[in-house]
Parts: sequence; structure tokens; C-alpha cells
Amino acid sequence: MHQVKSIKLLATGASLLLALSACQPGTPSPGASSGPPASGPAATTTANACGTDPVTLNVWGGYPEIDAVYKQAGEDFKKTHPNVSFTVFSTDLRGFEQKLTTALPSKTAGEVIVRTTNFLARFIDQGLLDKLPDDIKTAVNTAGAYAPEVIKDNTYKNDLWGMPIFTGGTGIYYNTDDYATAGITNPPASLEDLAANARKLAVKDASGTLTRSGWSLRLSGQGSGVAEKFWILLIQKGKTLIRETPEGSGKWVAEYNGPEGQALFQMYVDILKEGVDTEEIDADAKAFETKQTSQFLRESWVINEIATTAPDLVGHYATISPPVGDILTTESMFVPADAANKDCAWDFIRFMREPEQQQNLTKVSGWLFARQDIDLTQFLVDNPAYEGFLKRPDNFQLYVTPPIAEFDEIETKLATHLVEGYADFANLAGQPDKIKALLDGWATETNDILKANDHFGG
Amino acid sequence: MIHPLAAVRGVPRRTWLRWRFAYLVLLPTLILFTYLRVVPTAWAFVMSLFDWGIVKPAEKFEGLNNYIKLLSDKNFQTAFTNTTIFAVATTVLSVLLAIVLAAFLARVVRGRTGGLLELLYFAPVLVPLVPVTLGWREIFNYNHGVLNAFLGIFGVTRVPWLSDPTMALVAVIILSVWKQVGYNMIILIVGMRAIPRVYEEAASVDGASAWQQFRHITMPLLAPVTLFVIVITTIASYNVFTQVYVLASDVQGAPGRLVRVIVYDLFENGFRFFNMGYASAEAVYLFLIILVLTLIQFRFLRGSTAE
Repeated sequence: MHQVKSIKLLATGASLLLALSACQPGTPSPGASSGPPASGPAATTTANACGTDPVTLNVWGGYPEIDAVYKQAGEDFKKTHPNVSFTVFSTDLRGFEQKLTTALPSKTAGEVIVRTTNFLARFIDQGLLDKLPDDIKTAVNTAGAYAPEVIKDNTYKNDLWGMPIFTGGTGIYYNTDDYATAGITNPPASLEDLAANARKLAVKDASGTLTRSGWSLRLSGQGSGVAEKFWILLIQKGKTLIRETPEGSGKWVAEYNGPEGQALFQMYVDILKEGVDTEEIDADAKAFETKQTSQFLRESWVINEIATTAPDLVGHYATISPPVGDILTTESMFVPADAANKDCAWDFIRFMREPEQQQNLTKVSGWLFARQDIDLTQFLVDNPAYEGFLKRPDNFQLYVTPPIAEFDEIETKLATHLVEGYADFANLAGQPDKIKALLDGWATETNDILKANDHFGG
Repeated sequence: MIHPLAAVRGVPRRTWLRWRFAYLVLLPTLILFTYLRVVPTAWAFVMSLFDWGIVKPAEKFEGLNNYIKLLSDKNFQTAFTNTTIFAVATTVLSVLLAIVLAAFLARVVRGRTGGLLELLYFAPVLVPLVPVTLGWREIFNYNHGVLNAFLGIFGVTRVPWLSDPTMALVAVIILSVWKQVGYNMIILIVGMRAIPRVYEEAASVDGASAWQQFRHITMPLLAPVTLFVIVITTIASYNVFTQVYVLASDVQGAPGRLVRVIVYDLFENGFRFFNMGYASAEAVYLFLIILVLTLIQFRFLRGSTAE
């Protein structure tokens, strides 16, 4: 009896592990302009907002590769605010989100928080984040300062809460040497081009084992990334994951299970069955840097990574914009409602909006600065690899994250299904009926989640 | 009628004072244990009855709905199946291997060599799980992993350890057995060394072989320690999380298939989807599973010990 009690206590202890529609056409990409230099009203710096007493500003973000940007900006800021010191905290994005989930309600978060408005909406609902000061709001809302999609992505409850700092657009990376060797003379201009080129680019050894994938598709991994890649390719077919129906109603319905989604999934399993890509080979940026793939889609940060980890690749690859459209996510700077030194924190955020700081962000981290009223002519001359991100085709469509809290759950669960579906490629390739049934089943789950949150518009 | 305190009255004053002192000394620990263990567990059960989004206050009473929904949740079903396979395999393999190693080190190898081998087998327990898992991810790599290279020597074709759904689970089991076996081994060695040699010597005189001595003397006398090791390993196995999280976490390089286990699923529901009430119900299920299994183990193994 005594031992049973002990085990109950042990088991009790064990149980404690509790543990994005903006389809508005626009030629320039957010954060992209080759026009005149920055103009329009600048956010006004509050005089001596940081006072003279020692102040420490803690900047929290989810992208460790941007730490150096904040640290350098902090040093620049100190030139006019010598009493201000900075600490920069960042971890992987999901770990950062989890930290915010406990730190914001317990009022222990940093003074400056960098994350999307969509993610932070639930904290805004609880009054845990301040509204954007009026002068910054005016500057952000000035016509031409930011792409309309950036404003839309940052608007919650008809108001702006954070200042857009950088965006995450997608580019197609392709190895120009591999293209030349395969006799491909033009960059991919369509989804069909990408798939056709992939078949020419794949390389197998004498035993038939794939040694270089023609196209590194996103086939596995935890979280929503797999579904995000599927979504970006679906946009090239004119469709999206879930569509607001009717537009402006706040009600959504799954769209990925339509004929376009089925055709896209068919493309994935066909490529896998033909051995153009496989899960048994390195993938994504790592594969591109080690020449184990000839093309893939990713954000602009890879440009900086290539320069650091695979400098021999520089000059032997290029980027081009997806042909039809892309997802737009904007990371913004927020200040918690209970933050110490709020005025100083907002002053630093004003500072981060200045053109020099914005351009430095891209130079140092590879991520795209959010302002679009900055002259990029010289930047593109110096950094041609960014063309795929900063020069978009006419009528390019940008989709922002649906402003519903359950979207991440929808995307993550879809990603889980996609991974299982890709793994079953041998049984699904050439089976349109099976594919339709599969996608319809997943869409039912998506619509059920929307219904449970009172957001279903079917 | 016997007065309820009659027995107590018979206790000498000095004994009373010693008991009171013992309880007084235990009190801070009990308070801390209650605050850190009992209250959160009870709170998890309470929250499992609500629709709670962690950031906002729990508003809607759900009753047992979270529990009912979980039963038809495919992710939970997958997680339960994977976790059970993992727990059974890890417990059986790590305990069996630990018994073999313990017998070898406690009875065969002696002196410095024995100590060195004990340290060697115990070393994985001392290393933090995240870096170890990152190392194992390279070992499991399909193209340049050491494991496939080793298997290749024997003509075995390369195994997709991290991309095949079944092999990904096997990979997590291998990693976990490697990590757990040293811990189990040390406890079993201590247990074996506590068994007086006189029994084995007597059996030897009676003509019992080494295997017969081990089978009929060592193992029965080691049963309480073996039970402890099995229970501890089962509980640890059902709480598996770090290995599966880290093995699937590299989104920019080597592929990593997520092996969905219960703690990952409840972690995702609670901290990713903000369905903390739902995740709490999942935690209560996990608690019940472990509790039932532990009780079964106790009944089964204690019964056999009594025999």
C-alpha cells in the first residue's frame, strides 16, 4: 500500500508535463522601391524620452540572425542616448512564441517585442500591448511609406499596434551553373517551368540513387512550414488555403481542396515518384548550399547564409520572384502595456524606422526591410541576389495571414497531413480520385476548426 | 469501547517528540511539494473541464467535452499509439540490456576495468538530451550518417532513419535506449551487489550452473529493484518529448519526420494552438495511462515476487 502511494505520487509528478486577403495587385514588393529616396513625414522623436538615468531596453525577437541588427542599432542609438543600454534576446520562432505566451501575461517580457500582429492579436485582446503612438501611426499610414498589404497585415481591430520592421517574402533560388549544364536558358517563369526544369536538373548515380534533387520541395519537418510552401505554390495557381467568403465577412472556407490544389498535390507526388526529389537527401537551404539541389523556394535570409557558409556559390546562383504571387508576413515592433521605460522603447522603435537602419537590417540579416519608400537602386547594384525579392512581376498578388487566431492550427494540421501524403507518394501518384478524397478529408477538418471558432463561411 | 487515542497514549513522550520533530522537518518539503506538484496537477484537471486559451481567462465550462473530443482526435490516437510502442520497446530493451550489463559488471568484471566500463555505460545519462539528439541526427543521416556506413559494411542497404515513418520511430527508440540503459544498469548493479554472495555460493556447492544461479537466485532477489527500474523507465518513456522535437526541428537541412507522441501533441495543443483546456485533458489522460500501467506492473511483478 505504501509503495502504491509512492507510485501514485510519482505518476502525479509525471502528469505535470503540461505542458494569415490581400489580393491587391502591386508591382513593387513591400519594402521595395527603386524610386526616389525616402520622403513623407518622419516619426518625431520625443525629446529626451529616455531621460538621463541609466535605462536598459530588452529587445525580444524570434530570429537569431537579426540579433546583430538590433545590437548595432542599439550602439547607434546610444550615440544620442548614452544612458541607454540594450540586451537582445532571441530564440527559434516557436520557442519565442511560447516564451511570450507566459512572459506577456506575467509582465516579464522585454520592452520591445518583435512579432506579427496576427500572432499577438490574442495579447492585444487582453490589453497586454500598447497602441502605436500617433506620430508613428501617421508615419506608417502615409501614402507610399509601406505597401498596402503591410498595413493590412498590421491592422487589428481597425488600429495599428506595432511598427512594421521587416517582411518575409519568398524567392525562387536556382543554381545558374546547373541550369546551363542542363541546357536551360531562361529562369523559371511559371510553376510548370519549375517542375519541367526540375526533371532536367535531377542527377542520379549509377545505382539510380538521387544525388542532386531537381527541386527541393518541402516534404517534412515540424510545424506549419510544409503547408506554407504548399500555399505559396497554390498561389501560383491562383488559389489560396482558405478564402474569406464573401470577402470582408470574416468568414472563411477551405479552398486548397479544389482542382488547383489537387493538381498541385499531384505534381508533388509525381515528382517524388519520378525520383526528382526525395526525403532521403538533404533539403532546403542546406541542400542548395551543398549543391544537393538545383532550385528551391525560401525567404531572402538565405542570401546572407550563402555568403557566409557557401561563398563559392556566390555568382553561381540567382533568385527570381514567384510568377503570380506570394505570402506576405510582416514582423513588427511592439511595446508591452506594462513595460518599464515605454517612452524610451517607442523612441528606439522610431529610430529603427529610419532609412539607414532599415537598409542595414537587410544588409546584415538578409531579411527585407518593411518600408517601400527607400531608394533601392544602389542596393540592387551592390546586391543583385535580392532581385527575386525586390522586383516583382506586374499584377503580383500578395496574400496576408488570415486574421483569425486558429489559422496556425489549420496550417499546422494541414502540414501534418501533407507530410503523410507525400510519404505515400507511391500509392497516390496517378490517382486523382484518391487525391481528391484525401484533400476533401483534410478540408473537412479545416472547415470544422473554422466552425468551432465561428469563422466558417461555407 | 476503545478510545481512538488509546494506542497513542501508549507511545512514550520521547517517541512523540521524535515523531513531531520528523514531521516538522518534513513540513517545508511537503508544503513545497503540494504547491509545486499537487496544486498544478489538480489545477490541470480543473482546467481540462474548461475552454481555456491560456492568455485569456477560462470562460466556457466544457464538462467532459475535451475528453470526449480527444477520443476521436486522430492526432491524439496517433500520439497514443506511437507513445505506447515507444514506451514498450524502450522499457523492454533498456531494462533487458541493463540487466545483462549489470550482471556482467557486478559479477564478471571487477576492479578498475569494471569501474571504467560502468562510467562508460553511464556517460550518456550525464549528457544533456538536446546536444545528444543533435549528434544522433547526424549519426542517423541517410547519406553520410555513421550508422548507415556501419551497416553498409555488412551489406545492409541504407536505411532512411529520419524520413521513413516507421524507421523514424525506431530511431527515437534506439536513441532513448542508449540514453536510458546506463541509468537502469547502475541501479541494477547496486541491487545485485546487495545480494549476499552466500546464496550463490551455496547453490554452487549444490551444483547449480551460473545461469541457474542467475535465473533462480539473483533475478528473484532483484525483483523489487527491477520493478523500480521498469516503473521509472515506463514513466520516463511515456513522457518522451525532447528527442522527437529535436529530431524533427531542422527545417533548413536534413529531413526529419515528426514522430507524434502524447507530450508533443499536448504541447502543440496548449502552447501552439492555445487550447490549454484541451491540452490539460490530454495531460490527465497521460496521467491515467501511466497510473494504470504502474498499478498493473506493481500487481504483476509483486505477485511474481511473492511466489
